[in-house]
Order: sequence, then structure tokens, then C-alpha cells
Amino acid sequence: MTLKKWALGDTITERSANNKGVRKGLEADLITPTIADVDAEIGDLYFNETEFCHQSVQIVSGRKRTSLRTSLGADGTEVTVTGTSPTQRKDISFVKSPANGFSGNRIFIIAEIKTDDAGTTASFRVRKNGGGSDELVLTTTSLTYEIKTGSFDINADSNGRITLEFFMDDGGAGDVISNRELEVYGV
Amino acid sequence: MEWKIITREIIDNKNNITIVETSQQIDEVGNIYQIHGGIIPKACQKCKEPFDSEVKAFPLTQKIPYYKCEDCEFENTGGEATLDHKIETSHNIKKSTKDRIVSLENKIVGNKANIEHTEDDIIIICDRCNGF
Repeated sequence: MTLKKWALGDTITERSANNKGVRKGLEADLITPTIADVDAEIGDLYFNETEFCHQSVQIVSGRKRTSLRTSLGADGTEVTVTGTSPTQRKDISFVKSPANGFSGNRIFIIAEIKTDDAGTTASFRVRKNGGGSDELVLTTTSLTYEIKTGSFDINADSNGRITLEFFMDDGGAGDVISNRELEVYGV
Repeated sequence: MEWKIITREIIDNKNNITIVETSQQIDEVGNIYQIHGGIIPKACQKCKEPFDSEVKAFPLTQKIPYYKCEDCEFENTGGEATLDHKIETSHNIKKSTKDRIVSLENKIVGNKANIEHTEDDIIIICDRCNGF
């Protein structure tokens, strides 16, 4: 809630009680005019259910917000895989620790990917702790780099080191999938 | 395959319940499609079986020269040391090649998800149903 100075005799109205400060909703619920400018201030905290993260208002007009996420790692090296066999090309690790480290429960992946054959679907697979299933798959049929994003839960994971392994494969035997930017965030 | 938008209930401060749509869709077998294109595969849309692939390490090998002395226990992969041995002992050397493991490469093997985008659908099927 937006912190206001209250004076003796102030009346708590519906607007001052409910329309300010801390708000939860989908992206469509948090933008102007759903929340009018008069009901928003710099520093207001929202929980964006579309982007699944807390956001803080930076510019009231147009409701420009900054997402409060923790960067867990990044790798901008360009890598490729040829063919249909999913092969690991990158990995990023972090420690889940309520005491001193990252203590969130959801991981966000951002990756630039492309293929050299628009007729097939290329896949960028995210695995966890060498596990037996894809936590998340980002796909592309684009011949130029496009940014793909997705997220998955780690709420059931124990505290300690968590490794993310990134595999790639393309739909045809001689097709090549490429990855350049890779960023990992958590909330 | 039919995709349904995942909904949830919200209760306001007057206890009114409203159904709102989230940014994710789910199909009949539990696969999830996210608003920005991310897919969390759970099971094959055709045979309904959950995916059961695993990660295995495959060696990347390189052919290197291999020298084995036919008259004693000497063996080496270096030509210079082998030449020294031959000069010093006048033994006969047999030259061949052997594989050296350069590194290990992780690959996914088993029944993984294969994803294909069509104009109005996302097809998620396993390797077996895909004919691999």
C-alpha cells in the first residue's frame, strides 16, 4: 500500500483503502486506464500475474514499471547444434538458500534462438539437475534470432545447488539451431 | 488438440468471486503453453504417455597415432620418444592408431517431446509416435 501520512480525523475512503499502493492482477489490470493516474504513484508495488513477478512503478504516465527479479546467470556465447539429437551446449548453476542466497520458487529463461530451416521446428530445452524431463522448451522456426521466454517452478526443490542444463535440437537431420543470448532470472 | 486457458478465482474485499484468465493454456494431457511461447511438456498428445527421456554422456573421440614395440613392453603415442626407443634398442615398432576421449558430450536419449507449430495448434508428441 502506498504509505500516506495520516492525520487525526482523516476519513478512510474506498479509493484510499483499495485503489492505491499494493495491487495484484494480470497485466491488463495494472495498466492505464484500469488504474487511473490519480491512483498510482512512483514506488507503488504491484504483483503482475501475467509476468509472474513483483513490479514497482517508475513513471506514472503509461504506468512504466520495473520488474523485481533476481539475475541468476547469463551466457552470451553463440553455440549451435546440428541435427535431431538434443545436445547440451550450456549450463548455469545457482544455490537456493533462504538464509543467504536466492530463495525464490520460479525460474525465468530468456534465450535468443534461430534455425536455418524455417520448415522445421527447432527446440531449446531446459533441464534441471541432470533430470529426466524437460522443465521448459522454447521453440522457433525463425531464420533470424528471436527472443523467446518461459518459466517453470522450482518450489519442490530442496535448498542447495541447482544446475540448469540447456540442450538444443532441430527438426531435420542437417538442420542447425543456434543460441546466442541466454539469461536466467528468478523470483 | 484442444487448449484451454487456465483460469482462477479471485475474491475481492467484498467477497465477490470473479473468474479471471491467466496467461497460460493447458491441453488435455497436461502440457502447458505460456503467453510468450514457452512450453512445459508433460505427456504425448497421441499416446498420452508421459515423456521418459534421460541425459547420457557420450564420448567425443579423436584418432591419435599409437606405437607398440614388437620386442618389448614399450608403447607410446609420441613419435619422438618412439624414434628414440628404436634408435637405442633397434627394436621393431608397429604403428597404428587408437581413439582418445577428448571430452564427454551430454545428449538426451529416450522418449522425449517433439514440438511442432502449425497455423493454429501446437503438436507435442513423443519419439515413438513421431516414428523415431
